Amino acid sequence: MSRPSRAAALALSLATLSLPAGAEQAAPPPVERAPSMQLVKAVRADDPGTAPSEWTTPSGERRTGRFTFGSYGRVMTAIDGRGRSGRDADLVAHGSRLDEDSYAELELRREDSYQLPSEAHPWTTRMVATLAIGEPLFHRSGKFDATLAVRNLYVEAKGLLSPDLALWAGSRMYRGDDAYLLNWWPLDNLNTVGGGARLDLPRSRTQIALHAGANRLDDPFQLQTARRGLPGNQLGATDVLILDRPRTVESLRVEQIFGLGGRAGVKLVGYSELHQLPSGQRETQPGRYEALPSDSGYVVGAQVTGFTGERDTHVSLFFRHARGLPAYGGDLAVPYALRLDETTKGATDSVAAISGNFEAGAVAVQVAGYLRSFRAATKEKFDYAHLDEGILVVRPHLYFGERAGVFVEASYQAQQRAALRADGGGLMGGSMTRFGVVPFLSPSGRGSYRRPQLRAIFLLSRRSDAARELYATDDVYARRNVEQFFGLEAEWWFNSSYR
Amino acid sequence: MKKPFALFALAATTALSCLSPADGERPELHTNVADWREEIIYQVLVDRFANGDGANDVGVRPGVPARYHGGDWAGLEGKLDYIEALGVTTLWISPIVKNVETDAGVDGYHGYWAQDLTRVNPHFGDLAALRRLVAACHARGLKVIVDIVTNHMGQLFYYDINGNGQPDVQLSESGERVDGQGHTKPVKHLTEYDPDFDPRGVQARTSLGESGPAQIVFAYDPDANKLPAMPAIFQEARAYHRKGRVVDFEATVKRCASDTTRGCADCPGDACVDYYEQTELGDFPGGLKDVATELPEVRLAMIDVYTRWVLETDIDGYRIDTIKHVEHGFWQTFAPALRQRLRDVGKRNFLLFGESFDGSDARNGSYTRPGELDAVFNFAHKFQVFDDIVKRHGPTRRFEELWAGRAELYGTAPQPDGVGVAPAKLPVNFLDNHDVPRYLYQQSDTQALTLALTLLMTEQGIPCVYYGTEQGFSGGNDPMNREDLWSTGYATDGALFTHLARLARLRRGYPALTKGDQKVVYSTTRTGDEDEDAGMLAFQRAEGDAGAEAALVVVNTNAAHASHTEHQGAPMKTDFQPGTVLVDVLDPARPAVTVGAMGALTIEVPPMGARLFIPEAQIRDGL
Repeated sequence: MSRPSRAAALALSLATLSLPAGAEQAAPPPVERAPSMQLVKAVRADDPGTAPSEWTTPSGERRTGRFTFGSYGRVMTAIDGRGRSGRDADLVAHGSRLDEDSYAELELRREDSYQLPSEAHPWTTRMVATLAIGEPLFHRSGKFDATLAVRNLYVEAKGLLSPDLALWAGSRMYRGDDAYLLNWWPLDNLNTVGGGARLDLPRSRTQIALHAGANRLDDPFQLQTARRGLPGNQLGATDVLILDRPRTVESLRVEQIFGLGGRAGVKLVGYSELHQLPSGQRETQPGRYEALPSDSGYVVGAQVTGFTGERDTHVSLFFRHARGLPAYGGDLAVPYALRLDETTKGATDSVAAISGNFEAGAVAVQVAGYLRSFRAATKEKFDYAHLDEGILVVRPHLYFGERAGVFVEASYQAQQRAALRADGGGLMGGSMTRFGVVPFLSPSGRGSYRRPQLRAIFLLSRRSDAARELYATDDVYARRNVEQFFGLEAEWWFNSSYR
Repeated sequence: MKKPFALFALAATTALSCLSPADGERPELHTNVADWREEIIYQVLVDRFANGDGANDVGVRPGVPARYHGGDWAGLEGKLDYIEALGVTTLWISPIVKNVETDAGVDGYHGYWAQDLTRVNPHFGDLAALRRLVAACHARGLKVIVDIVTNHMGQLFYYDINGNGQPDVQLSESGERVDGQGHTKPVKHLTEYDPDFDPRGVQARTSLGESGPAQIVFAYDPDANKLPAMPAIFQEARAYHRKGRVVDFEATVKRCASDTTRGCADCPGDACVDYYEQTELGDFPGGLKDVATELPEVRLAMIDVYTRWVLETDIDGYRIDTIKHVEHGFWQTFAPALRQRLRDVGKRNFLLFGESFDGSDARNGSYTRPGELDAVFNFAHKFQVFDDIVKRHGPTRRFEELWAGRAELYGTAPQPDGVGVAPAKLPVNFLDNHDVPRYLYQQSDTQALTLALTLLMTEQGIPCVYYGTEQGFSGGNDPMNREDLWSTGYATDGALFTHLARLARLRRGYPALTKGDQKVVYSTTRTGDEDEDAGMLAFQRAEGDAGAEAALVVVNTNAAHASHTEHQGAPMKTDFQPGTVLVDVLDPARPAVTVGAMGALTIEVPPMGARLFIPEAQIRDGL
């Protein structure tokens, strides 16, 4: 599942923060006195949001409010060189986004402010509802149906104690900066139902965010229902919860920006998560139960981002180490290859990632990559679950005029698993090299993060012989080395909450 | 905060107080039956009789013969006027305990697939509804008999023959394959739910051959109510014989009379008997798991639960299913223990009668040995009299022979603490029931049924009428013989209904028909068109406990012509005094007859006709 790009918003917000005092007066009336990153983005003059209404109640309270609509989306259709459907060919967990499936988010947002004459600053609220749509699309499958998910459904309020303190609760995509080319948030990416607080200190350019949430995945690791007869000798049966152990997650994110003169700066981020899973029991067969011990884990990580403040040029380095529960991915991941006691103790996931963008004149270059080492909890030294992998993607752009261009994308990725090959000749794994040419239209102008874009995509990928062993028998990827990919894609984003 | 809570509690208490306390309390126990010979049993399949409570119509499929239709105890209670109008005196209701809900697309609506012997089947209502039904019956002088099963439970487990942990239904042989001798092997259908009988116990096997007794795996399917059985002993494998399904009900093996687990060679000094091993130890067809009734814990559990149901409801008797599939030792334990427990709480005359679905009177009668049951269903009589003689016009001499044998084959003394009547005098006679085709099946003419009903209601024993007989139901084998009675509108003016109601009045009005001994005074082997007495049968009902009361029943089972009780100038000889004037109470307008010298009496009866004579001096008005 993909999410709207954080990188674009990052660059945008950084630039906005550097606006001279009063510059924001040219925009539609602000919804708060000291704009946070999100709300600054929401009130930019070129945002398509509806201008807020403003009125005063009989009691003298000044109110503003508006509805806005935002969206991120990409819709792709593609075929391969033999006329089959185009398909993601990546070996690694986070590969190039160019061949990913269609996905879109539709966001409705209500923003209000309230201020009594006696109050020094207004209270502001933001209610965000984001509906996500995934494949298959009706026009592809012919089934008048949709895969829908509610990604955001929360309210954020500011005004308690300080206009710089935001409190929120609800269901929320809760994340930091992304590596756009990989469609991935290397450091922090939670999907939580919970709540939190964020303190933005614009003068010191400091942001501190705390959060706690819980999930209970519909998976036997956390949830099991069983049929039981109704009480009181009633006819029929009902489901009862046998296993019900929500995972609780707490996170802390501290961000500090240091100016380097002009619009340039460096952003440092420190990040951590704690995960807990209570003990429980599940029924292995009627009347027999298996005890599941409690489990836990943590994440520590950091990010360093340097930016020029000009045309979204920046480079970010991410470092993340997870142990236990979160080693298996985000909070929505289901652990596997566990220890015999059914815990994730000892599982580790270490990542170093890079993401950057450089733009100058008619040229832009994006880059992303990572190295990752994952070890599952199992004590077995050789297990298919253990893996090392990495990828490096470079995407140079050349613009023809202001609203068209072409980019090429070159990438190399490799993966090795702790499992012996069938012939006993070393570990399973393989690599893939890709080269792509993508002419595009960018009606909103030059820029790696300007959207919408209309693209024609051609990709030529070559996987190694060893990589074919990573696919099941009769999977075409197990039978050939070279893939061609011809696609047409639209990608857009506007006015959506990226965090 | 306390005040609102108090108000709420008061309101709730007030609302609950609208329920009758009697609904939730155990009834007082009474001995409701003075003499079971005076009773007329009416067999009711609860699911098909009347629907009085829509709340329990869960998963009903009206119109589908093998599914629940919605009848319940409340419905039955609402139709007691109909039952009273029919003149029957005792309801035999289908099993009340909780059943496996459904199996292989067939529901447990009949009640013979027990899962929990301690709880009522909620399709029929709750315990309060059952109590209300019993109380309402008793208030009208009706009695209630409940159907029970001790032989088997429902489809609660499968035999994991191939050890794969799932129930399989498969073909074990191809049918096409040729063995080393050039013989094709037949296709063998193997189901782990209901495999064929194996005296060693169902064997597990793989492609390499047998591998010892198969494990049984209890099903767990709450939607089908395949849940752990109750009482808890039935959750243990040892509570079942696990030998597979009976495939030959007549198969016997030689066993020591004193211990049927031993072969005759092991007991040279003991008698060697034919032992119905499959019948007693095999699962009942349909995957109904045979209970190890020889285990003391199982016997105790049965005694406990079936004592409890009497205490909970004040019912008056048990009809016991499939008794010939249970060893005598069980009955010799179960029946006395149950009677003793009921006697201790003041409940007497509790009837225990069983179903031995067998044409052999010797076998059926064996279950009325001292210490066993009070009575059994008279299957021999159903087959040999109602079917062979009345329906198929066979020689009536068979009737005489059959009844003559009862004194030897059935218990001749009342069971200790039983109902006070010797089993030989207490057969439960019937024309049909839920396990056999209706009497009218494939015979739309009601003449034979009318005659059979007359015979049923005048002969010795307890007549038992299957619901719907009075409405002319004609369904074939199960489940087509389990029609919805509500389809008739509960009409009480039909010929069969009025005929049966009249017979019931006569039986209840003349003690000779209930308490009198039975003596056949005329029968014949002749059935031909030229035979003057073809099809004639006559028997007296007198003496016994009837005092001076007497009756004479004369029937002609010949369908072709009128016959009389005389052959080649030799008239029937009765025990009536010469000059006794007899009135045909079935047709009082017909001239009375007078008994001749030495009790001689020649009575002519039209084809398939019947006469019921009562001495003129004993005639009661209004019957």
